[in-house]
Amino acid sequence: MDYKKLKTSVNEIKLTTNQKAQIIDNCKKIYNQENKIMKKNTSIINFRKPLTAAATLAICLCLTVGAIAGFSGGFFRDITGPDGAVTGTEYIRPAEELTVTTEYENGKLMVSVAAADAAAAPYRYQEELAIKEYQIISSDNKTVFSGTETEYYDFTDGKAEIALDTDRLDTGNYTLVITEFSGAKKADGPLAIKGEWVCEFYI
Amino acid sequence: MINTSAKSAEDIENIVNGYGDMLFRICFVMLGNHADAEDAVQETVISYMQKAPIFKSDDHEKAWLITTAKNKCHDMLRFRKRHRQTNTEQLQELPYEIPDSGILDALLALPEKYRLVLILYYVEDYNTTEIAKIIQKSPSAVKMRLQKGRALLKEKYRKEYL
Repeated sequence: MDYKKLKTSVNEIKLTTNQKAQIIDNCKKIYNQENKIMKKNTSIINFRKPLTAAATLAICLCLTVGAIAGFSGGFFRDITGPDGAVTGTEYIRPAEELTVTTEYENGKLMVSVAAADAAAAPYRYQEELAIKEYQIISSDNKTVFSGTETEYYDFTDGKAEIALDTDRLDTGNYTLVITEFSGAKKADGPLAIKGEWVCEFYI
Repeated sequence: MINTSAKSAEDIENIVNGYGDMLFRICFVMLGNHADAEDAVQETVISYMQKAPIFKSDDHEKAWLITTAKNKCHDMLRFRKRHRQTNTEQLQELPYEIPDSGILDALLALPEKYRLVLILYYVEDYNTTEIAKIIQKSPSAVKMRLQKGRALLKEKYRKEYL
């Protein structure tokens, strides 16, 4: 068996110039396409980085805003003495949780207070409610009366009707500004509920 | 991720001009069809560009190209087996000039595993150990294939061409 003949015969198998040119051309095309894809991928990756950062920032902002919004609904805060010792608890910024309306009748201003969610703390635990601090401002922007703690009124199902004495007021338009309520419960200290509620009334 | 940055478009020409004929011979002997052989060479060059391997020497590079070409041919043969759409007689019709040699026809008539070993041994002048590395078989398996391939080739050649 002449294997040299085999080698000679097989060695005669060659790519033609045209075939080589075609292969080179095709490979270059594919090579260039892949380079383009790679560049695109790189640019997408580069674009993704700031996009991810922006998304993260947006999520953080949402969380912060959500947290602030949650706080605006009211939260408990410790009351501390001059030595830093905790002497009690107060509930602050619950303006949206309590709806205050006024109605003048028989020489008294009836202040209706209603909790948006009577089952939520701290309202579900309060049995009585009083207005702790309030001001009555006249139409010419003068404080005509600054009141301190009223009597405690029944606070059931998140609702209370508190009467304010307005005998000393003349006829006219007034604005009631309440800055603090006080909740009471048997065998428990009063809870200060601090915020700002503004209502207009006419005598 | 494909690392094409290590190879330039110029390398494509160098590879095709330097190893194109050798790869085409091997692919042709394995596939028995010039069009598929051409495709296999192209696929091999593309793999070379995509993978951009680092070679210790020219021999290493040549061996890598042969192994890759062999794998591409195996893929094509597997594809042919699964997708029998073309008549094998048509595949043997070669639209371009192949040396009129009975020994080459006899070689092409052998099973593929013997063809590859014979061409690497007798045409590309690799020894059995080198062939074993290229085709990823043991040297003894290569020797067995060589022995059996030689016997089959002799028988085929004597029967049909002498």
